[in-house]
Amino acid sequence: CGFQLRGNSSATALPESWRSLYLDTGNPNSEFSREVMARFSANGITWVEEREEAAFILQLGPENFSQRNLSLNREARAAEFELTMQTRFAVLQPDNTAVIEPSGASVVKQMENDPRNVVGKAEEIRILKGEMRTELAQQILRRIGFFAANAAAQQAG
Amino acid sequence: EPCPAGDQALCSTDVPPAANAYPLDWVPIREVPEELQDEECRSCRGRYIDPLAGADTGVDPELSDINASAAQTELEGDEVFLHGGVSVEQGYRRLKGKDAYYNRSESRGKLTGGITIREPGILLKGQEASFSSDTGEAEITESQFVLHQQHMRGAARSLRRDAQGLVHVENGALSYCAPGEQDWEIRADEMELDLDEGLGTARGAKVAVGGMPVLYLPWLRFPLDDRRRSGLLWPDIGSDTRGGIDIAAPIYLNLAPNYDALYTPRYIEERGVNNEVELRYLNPAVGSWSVGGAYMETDKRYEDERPEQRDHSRWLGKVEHNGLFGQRWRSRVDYSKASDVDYLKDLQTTNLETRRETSLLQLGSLDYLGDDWLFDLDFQQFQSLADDINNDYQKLPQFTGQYRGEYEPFALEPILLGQYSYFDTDDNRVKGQRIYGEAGVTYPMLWQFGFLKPTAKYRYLEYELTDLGSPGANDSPSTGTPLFSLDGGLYFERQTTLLDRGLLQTLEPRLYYLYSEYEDQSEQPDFDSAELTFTYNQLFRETRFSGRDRLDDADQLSVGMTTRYISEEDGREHLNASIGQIFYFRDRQVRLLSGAEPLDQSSSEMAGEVNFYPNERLTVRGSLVWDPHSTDMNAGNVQASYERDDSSIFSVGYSYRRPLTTIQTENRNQQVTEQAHFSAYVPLGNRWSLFGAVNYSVEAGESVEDMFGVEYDTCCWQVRLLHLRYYDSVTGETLDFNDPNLEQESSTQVQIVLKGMGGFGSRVTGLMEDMIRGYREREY
Repeated sequence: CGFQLRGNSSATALPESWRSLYLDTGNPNSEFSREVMARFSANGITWVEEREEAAFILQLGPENFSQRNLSLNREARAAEFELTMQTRFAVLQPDNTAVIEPSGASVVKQMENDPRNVVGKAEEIRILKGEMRTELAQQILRRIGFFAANAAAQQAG
Repeated sequence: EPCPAGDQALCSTDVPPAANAYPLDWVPIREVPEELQDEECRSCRGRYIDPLAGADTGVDPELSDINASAAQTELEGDEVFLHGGVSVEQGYRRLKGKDAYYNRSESRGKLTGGITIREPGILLKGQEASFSSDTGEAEITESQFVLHQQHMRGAARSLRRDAQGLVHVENGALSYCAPGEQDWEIRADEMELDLDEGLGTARGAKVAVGGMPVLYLPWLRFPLDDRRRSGLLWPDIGSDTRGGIDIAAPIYLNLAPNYDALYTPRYIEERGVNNEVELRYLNPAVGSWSVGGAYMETDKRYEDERPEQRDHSRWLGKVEHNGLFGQRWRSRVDYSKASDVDYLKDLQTTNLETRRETSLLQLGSLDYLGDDWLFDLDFQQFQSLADDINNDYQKLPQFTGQYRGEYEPFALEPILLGQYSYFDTDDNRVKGQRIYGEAGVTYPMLWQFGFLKPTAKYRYLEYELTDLGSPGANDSPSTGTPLFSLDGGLYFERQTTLLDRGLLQTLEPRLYYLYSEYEDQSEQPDFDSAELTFTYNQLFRETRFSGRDRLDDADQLSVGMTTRYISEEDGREHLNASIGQIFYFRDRQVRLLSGAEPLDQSSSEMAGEVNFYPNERLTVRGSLVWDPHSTDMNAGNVQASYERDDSSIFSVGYSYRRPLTTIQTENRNQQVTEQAHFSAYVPLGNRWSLFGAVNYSVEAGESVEDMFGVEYDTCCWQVRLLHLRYYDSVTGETLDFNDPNLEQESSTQVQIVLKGMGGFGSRVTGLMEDMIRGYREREY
């Protein structure tokens, strides 16, 4: 049905010209920043220490986490939570012109609540937050990877 | 004489026809260019148009040369006298008047006779002005002024612009209403407008409606632009069945740029006066701090409802702190304590979400964010807000050290984690210390076409327990078990088109094998563990439990498949969908409740997830958990939201859940929850809008909470009326929304917004943002 294994010629393969990035963020050592750096590193990105040395600059906002009641049980207490994690990012050239305009990324999850096990459910939220960070980082990586591959293909062709 | 291109009107010595036609730069809508006819312009039937809007503001006018022209010019030493149609230009600054005097050595001057001073974004008019060309200071008497971007106009007996650009208004007035309209204005003895900060402050302010003063406010602070300002200082007025008429009048003290205080006396008809305080402090050396609380000496209604209580004072204490020091040390405090379990229910009457909380978090944490290691020190406890739920376990403290991986492909990476916790409780339950550790390696392999990640580690758990209850019980259980996992996935893709749009479709199969030895853990307590909600994410987790009290046994294979549709234009995902299932090769004997039967099904429920974003306006999310053994749907969720350019928002949702193993049922029979949600905000024409929200319990056939309201909107003011009904959290015997004894609470709130100034009743905004999904208040 036309599916092929992704290869180096794929539309989502990160081209060579994109492989050195500088991370511009308020909290470079936070769990989220490290997750983004790790996901990009795993895909062949080198993070450089100096802004000037980078091919592109990834501007990364903080993770914004929120939680709301999704449904109520018969005691009118939360039966399910909806968890949302959002962030904003942009990619700049060294001269500060935007290559990818500020964009949002978000992940939404649901979980069952147990009003009688607050601590256990707080731990579940902690696990979900970790997974949501990973998914946000992957969303950003896919978005940038696709854009970079397209830009490189257009230049070449 | 030469005139800069495009500025003919400004340097002509004749009064330009444009200035006559629009004395305050207010242009009626029929003459406004189409592209400037925004919503506000249509509502106000016109708008301010700033002739200097496009001016270059890069150069400070104080550094620019002065060009002056007049019908007649006299020069006496340093003094210049100009007569008849004076026009002065200095950079982007423009001054006009009938006559002028200027002292070149002092750089000061005076302008008389129908004067106009302009800079981009501001127009000052008056009878007489003195000014300094060095600092930009100016003082005008009998002035009228316009702030174009803020959509504000005003008048002042004396108007002064200081060297910092602050505008000081004495005996003046300010209004958002179009020139000639008298709907409202703020009159004040003194006003200060800080255009850079976007803040206005008024002292001795009177709100006049239709020319009649209706309200006196000794101090008022208001936003001058759309930067979000917390806590606008207008009273709140409402009424609800939890306390009757409820009026709050905040008093704000701006003590310094980095600290302020807010005191809000709140009168509640059936209860008394609640004194609410919030102090905020921001300093890079100590982080941000907010300390607040509330105190009511005697709550009359609480006295009647709970006569058995000796103390009928109500209070709430709250500390919030966030700090980050040297990018390495991170601190956080989130601590709330209430006088009694009903405090939030009785007194936090304007946020249903908060009212339904069953516990208050009391947390303090300090983290070290190292390059290779992450250390967390947490003190955490919860205050129960329910009569029927005891306070949960306290972590006093918990210390975690964790090696931070690099995820470098094709490199062996260590896994190291150690955790010490001390669990305490007020109840007669088991408590004690716990040590958890894990050590192992992982070897991530990554290619363009997929990934493979083997992981091997050993997990260890040990307790020192007290208050075990039964005398012979083991007070130091310990257990350890090896774990092996293999995670692998492939990426397939193809070009496709859908509705004439070029798309890249991916197909991403993923397999996850997990093996972990069984160890008997029936002697271990449950301090911080819960069974995790089964969703698609669960397929690829290495545990079924949250917390660290159980090392689960596993010999299982998860099979998952994800597909994505990605726009070829910009790489945005239009759709992603995943489905998968776990196949078990052995029974799961480790359970949270000791004595619970092993789980013996050979495969898990099937879990699926769909996210659909066909365009910027529509979002649809869904998830499903389906049990092939019983052919039941165990959980299902659909949420859709739609936004239109006219700012209408619609949202519908449906959520179904059959609680299975996860809830500690004790002697209660937990029921299915099945709920539908609808919310909308819909403008009807230019003036009226309707909004509402319903949270409907399908199993009870009853609305659990609903809200509806109406909004009337004019150019410069807005009024909203909101009515809210809800069932309170119930405890005890009543466990059904259909119970006739269950009383429905209700609340009515009114909001009057003077645009550009804020207004009464910010509770309405809070409730709308809380209940209408996706609704965000527009700022005026």
